[in-house]
Amino acid sequence: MLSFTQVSHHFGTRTLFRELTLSLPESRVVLTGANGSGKTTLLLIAAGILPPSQGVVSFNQLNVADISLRRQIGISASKVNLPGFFTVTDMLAFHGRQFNCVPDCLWADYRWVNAFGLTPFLNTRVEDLSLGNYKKLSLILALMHSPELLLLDEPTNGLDDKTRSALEECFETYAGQLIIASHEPQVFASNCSVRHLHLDASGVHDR
Amino acid sequence: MNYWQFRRQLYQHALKQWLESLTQVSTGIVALFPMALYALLLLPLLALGVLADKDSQGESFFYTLWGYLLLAYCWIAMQKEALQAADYALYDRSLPVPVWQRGATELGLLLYAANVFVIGPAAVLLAMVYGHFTELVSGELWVSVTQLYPVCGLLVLTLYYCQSAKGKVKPWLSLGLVPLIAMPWAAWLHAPWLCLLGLAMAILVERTVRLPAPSFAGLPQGFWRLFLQQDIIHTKPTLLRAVVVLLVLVIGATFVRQIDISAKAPASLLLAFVLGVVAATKLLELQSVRRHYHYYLHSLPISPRDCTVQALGYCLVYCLPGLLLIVKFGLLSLSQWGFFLLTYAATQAGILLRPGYYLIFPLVAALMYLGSVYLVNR
Repeated sequence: MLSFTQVSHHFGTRTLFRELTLSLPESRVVLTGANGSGKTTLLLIAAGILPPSQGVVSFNQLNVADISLRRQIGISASKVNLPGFFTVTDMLAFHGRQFNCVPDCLWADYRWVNAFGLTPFLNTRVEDLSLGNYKKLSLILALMHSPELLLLDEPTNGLDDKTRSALEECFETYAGQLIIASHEPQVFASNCSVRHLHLDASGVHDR
Repeated sequence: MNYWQFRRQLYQHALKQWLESLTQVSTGIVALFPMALYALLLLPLLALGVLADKDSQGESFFYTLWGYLLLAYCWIAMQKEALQAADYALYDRSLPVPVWQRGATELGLLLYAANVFVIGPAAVLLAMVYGHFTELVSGELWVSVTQLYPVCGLLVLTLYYCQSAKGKVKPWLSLGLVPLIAMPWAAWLHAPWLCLLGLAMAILVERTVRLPAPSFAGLPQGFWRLFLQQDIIHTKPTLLRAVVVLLVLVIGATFVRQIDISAKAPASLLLAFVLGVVAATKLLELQSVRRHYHYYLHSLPISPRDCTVQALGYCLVYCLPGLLLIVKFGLLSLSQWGFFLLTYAATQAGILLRPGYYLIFPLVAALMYLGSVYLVNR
């Protein structure tokens, strides 16, 4: 379970969250909000990669800032800049090695690479990928180590139909907790046990 | 706005960005030599005195020529994208500009960018032709040729390296291996024509034998791979660092060998200090890579402390070729090597502890070292 305790965050003089206390026991959560309302920032804080100005975020009673928790968390967000000089294969190999999850097969045969149609781009440099392919790579990296907490920022942005359906299939069967920041209300449309949250200047509210 | 003005504006715009990014990626060097870019313009003028003289001693001609051409090559190589308007290449190619006009504009831009490196020898050549005009027309051609060939050779070679810096052929042999291998015999290269001929041969070979493209297959995996591949793909900072080290060594070798014996030790200490700081500031680049991919690296199951340890280790291995080069130049004694290592360690400590004021650390270390030497010698 992901929980925020008295979390506040400021960018300069601008306050994004003030003493946010929230528990998310649901396995599927969708976070909506206007542009600039802080959805991505909230995901980065939840992943433990952006320390909040105040407060604590924990996952299964462990502080997400703890390095040992990294293996249980996966994040895909546009702000998580990937090394552009790597080829897609290099990137996957590097990431797989860091998380001890290098598959036994060739990358061309790897499940997510195939499902997302990234095979033709394995030798392309990350900085040369199109927006959609960059998103696919970012999603694969988040999914690769099968984290217990998966945080996805606008996961369907720029994706083609084939990848969208592969992703939706993944969402339906994913075993861990899945938190998505999205503008598209139809995410998890077929799932009735989804918690919908809305983020605005006054904080986070259930919808 | 005509095509020349358009390309010149693109060049100047790209140059501004390049200077900003240069300041960022090579903070150490720029901080150490705040006047470096301006001083670089004076170096060619100083070098011309040696290079235009047919009576220059082999050793000083060798080192000066090497340094001059290396600097000219790198000067253009670093402006390559700006000269080619790389960011706007597709738009530029869509313009209906005749081939001759495009060629003339690019040549003009090259001369504009190379400025003092080409204009210097060209002006000296013109002055010498003017000075020897009566000999040229009165038939004593051989005398004039012997007077003019060093500066003519220099001009041709500079133009060649400036042009080749825009292309794909790297001077790995003529400005790399050959001068390094020929160093022990530098004093025996008693005439400039030997150096010029050697360079011409090396150029011929390097244009025929191409270096294989870098392969990533055998490179180490894991965290070092991130730093290593970054260095292989983005070569400019590494090139700049290598050139600074080479130039410091080439200029230092000329300087240290020609000064009075009593001044050699302090001069070598200064060299050790400069080289120590330049080598250690590689860590600034790695820290900058870490900052750039901050979120991604934070999402990995590796602590910032381990990441720093890996960066320090990588930095040390990265500097090994530079250390071998310093050994090859043989400018430092054992105690000066100790001072070099002290400077290196103090600079890196400064970068980790107080990045904004890291130069204070090697300066304090140097003062403590000099103080302890003074006390021991009393």
